[in-house]
Amino acid sequence: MYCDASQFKFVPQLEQGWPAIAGELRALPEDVFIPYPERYLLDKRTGWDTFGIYFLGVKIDLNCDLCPETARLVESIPGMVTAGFSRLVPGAHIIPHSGKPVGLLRCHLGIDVPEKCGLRVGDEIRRWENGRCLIFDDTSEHEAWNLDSRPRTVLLLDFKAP
Amino acid sequence: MEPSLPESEQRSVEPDQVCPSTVPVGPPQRQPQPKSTLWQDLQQGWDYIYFIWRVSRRIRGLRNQIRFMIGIILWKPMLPRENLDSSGLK
Repeated sequence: MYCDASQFKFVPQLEQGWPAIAGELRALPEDVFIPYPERYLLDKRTGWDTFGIYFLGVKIDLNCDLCPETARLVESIPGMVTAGFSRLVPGAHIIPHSGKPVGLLRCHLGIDVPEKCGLRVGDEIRRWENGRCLIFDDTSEHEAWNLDSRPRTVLLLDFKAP
Repeated sequence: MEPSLPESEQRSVEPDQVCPSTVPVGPPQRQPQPKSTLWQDLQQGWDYIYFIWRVSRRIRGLRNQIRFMIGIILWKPMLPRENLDSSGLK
């Protein structure tokens, strides 16, 4: 299920940082994005790339150097354990799946969002918007798709549920 | 000349303003997928190792590289329901 993003104190600061984050994303070299390995989650087994900033509390140092402002913003989020850019290429569809119940919530900040894409969590479908956060319980069944002609990129965050 | 409706009623008879940009597109139809082959399973395993290797190269310090590797091995999203069903793991 989706959560009310306005309940989280870090959301306004993160959303205000969108222009800087988007600028750092645009400046990234293409070869720093790495294909996400769990291909069975993709309907066509291709089209999901990631750029890690933190993973389960471990800092991805060289990537943080490339995105200093983004790293600073995510480090300021209480309970943040994982952060990074998630890019879905045109036509990609992450099939319905659920995360492990480990007491985390997931936040997606829309960074570069085309028109024809969406995220279903439970029974509710929403679309990302640039500079706006969606927060949801990763243990709910969810799926994501990009039917547009250009990639969709969000800043993905996992943080400890308050 | 017809009398004009009060402003409140004019609003009520206007068509709904549907902004296309706010209406999400639904998920695409999925093609039935054949059961994965041994080659695809091996490829999946190799992709996982390659992913861990590439990310760990971007972490400074052996201790944090090991923390990352242990973290990613122990953490794993649950398999999709259909995979659980087809494998008999319920």
